[in-house]
Amino acid sequence: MRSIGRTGLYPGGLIWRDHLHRLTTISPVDPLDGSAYSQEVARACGLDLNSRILCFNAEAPSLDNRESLVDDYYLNLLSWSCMNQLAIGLDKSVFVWNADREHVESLVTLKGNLDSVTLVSWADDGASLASDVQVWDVETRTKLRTMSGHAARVGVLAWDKQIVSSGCRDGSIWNHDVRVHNHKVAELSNHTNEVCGLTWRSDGMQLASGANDNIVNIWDARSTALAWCPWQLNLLASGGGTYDKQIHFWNSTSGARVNTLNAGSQVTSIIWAKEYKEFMSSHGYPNNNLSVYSYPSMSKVVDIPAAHDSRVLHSAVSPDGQTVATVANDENLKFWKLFEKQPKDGKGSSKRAKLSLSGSAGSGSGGLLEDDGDCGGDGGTGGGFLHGKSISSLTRIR
Amino acid sequence: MMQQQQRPTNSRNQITLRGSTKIIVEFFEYCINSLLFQRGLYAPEYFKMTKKYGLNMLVTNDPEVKSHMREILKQVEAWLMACKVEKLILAIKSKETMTVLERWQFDIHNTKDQSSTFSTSTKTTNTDSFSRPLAGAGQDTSTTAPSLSSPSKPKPEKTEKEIQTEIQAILRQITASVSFLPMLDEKCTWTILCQTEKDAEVPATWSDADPHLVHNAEQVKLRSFSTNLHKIDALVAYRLNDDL
Repeated sequence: MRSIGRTGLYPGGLIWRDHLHRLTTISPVDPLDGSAYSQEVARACGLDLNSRILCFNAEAPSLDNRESLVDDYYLNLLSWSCMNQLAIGLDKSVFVWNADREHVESLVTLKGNLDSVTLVSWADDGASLASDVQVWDVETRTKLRTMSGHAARVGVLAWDKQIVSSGCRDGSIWNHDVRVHNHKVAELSNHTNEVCGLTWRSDGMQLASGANDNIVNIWDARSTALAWCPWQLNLLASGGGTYDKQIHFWNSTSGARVNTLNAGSQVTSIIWAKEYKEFMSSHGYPNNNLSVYSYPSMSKVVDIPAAHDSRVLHSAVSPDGQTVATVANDENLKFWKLFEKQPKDGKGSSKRAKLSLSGSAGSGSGGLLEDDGDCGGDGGTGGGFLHGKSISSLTRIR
Repeated sequence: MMQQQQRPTNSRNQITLRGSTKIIVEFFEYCINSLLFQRGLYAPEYFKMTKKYGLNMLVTNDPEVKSHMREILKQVEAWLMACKVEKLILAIKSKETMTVLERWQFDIHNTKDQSSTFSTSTKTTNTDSFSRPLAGAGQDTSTTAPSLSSPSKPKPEKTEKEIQTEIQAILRQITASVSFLPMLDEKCTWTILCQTEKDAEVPATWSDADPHLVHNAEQVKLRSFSTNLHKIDALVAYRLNDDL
């Protein structure tokens, strides 16, 4: 007698329930007639000895562990756009609910062993959605870009037009410019613990951040002036904004403020010298000046008033650390030889700096520095390679 | 028995086979969806309501479940077209213990073949005869379509309307069966099994399995429906209360 699998399942015969009510019982046929019996039982049990039972290999999807809201206060999984679309991050997926059409759409589901979605945040235009540090076009459901780099999870994010500020678990806040390749345009480091709240003032001038270290910071958007000291690794200089006008020095290890300098006006950028124990700060209204201070004495070494016609927006230092470039809304890019190396033969003067600005202007659409010549002096060759911009250079003679 | 291997050969029968297959696959799709909803395999928010067979049917809107089901039904359709599938089974299992708790079985009879096997007037098999297999014990003739009468007489083609009405009746009954089925109060998962003929072509995505029978089961025979070529019998087996 052949086995038909699990016999003895139906003691006393098989009960059919007809129409859910009427019961009919089949008695087993004579057990001595082996083959007939097994055939009968097989048929009754719905088994066919000449058949194969096949099973679809893939397991049925389990939706239990999926799409649940991660229970973590420090994540930001809900965001409502100005286009009346609500985005929600559920575990590894982001869903967009269109409140006008009352329609839900799945935007993305992260694949692999990644962490779950930690945040969703709409851009001001309501068309782009950032999740983690990915930017998505919701209309076409395509990923525009990924801006990675944070060492830990990013729990909070805030948009200001093209700038996305992301707060990380390690306490750092990065500003990303979504338009440019090197997206990280600033790092704001003051928090020692996970950044859990981050929001721009509606005019984009200030960014407030709150963190697990129980500190709320207000960052002046115009003072993304932050610079690490090259010779003292844990020393960070941060420039204050229009109201603050201070340059603060932080011990990044202890988090303590070690020094403060009143700069007299908004600090737009800070650059440390490599060669000297000095730093340069650029400023906004009213003087639009550049200043060089020595550290830690905080004495002003050089002041260049009216370095630009409007506030100095950005500054950058050349790779050799000698020349600083500045740019302002006055359409001028200027080069300043602020930290020129002393010649090895010792010919260089160690006296108070004598400044020399050598103007060499490109054919600009205006914005040419009229007072280029005023500072006169020995000729650095600053310009020529940048078209359509005025370029000046200044040499500081030591 | 000699005519058992007879397959629809002429073009008209091919059309019938294709049409019948389509109806059956569609029925399985709605029926499985409906069961997944009713038996709580997935939360209600994964389903949306749609009109079908003159009923409000609940169909999943989850892409993952959808594609899983599409994969299965694609193969069922291929087997139906090859006349190789005998049963389709939806087994509902406990997620934790993997015990089969409930088993929905749909027997697929090729009525052309069966007429040659069971009918007394075997000579009429090349006509559109719809003899009813009398082998199934306890079947209630009143549940099936009125068109199934004397096997010797050629019957008119069953209209789509008639088939839809039968499907509607079976789906109604499945919905009503929730009232006597035991509660599935643990987390469950589901599996689709197919019983095929030995020589059926089996893709790599399918493999041999045990029949997923329910231990200590009570079985309830449900209604049937038939197309011009197939007859589907439904049966549910479920676990009797452990105390009994």
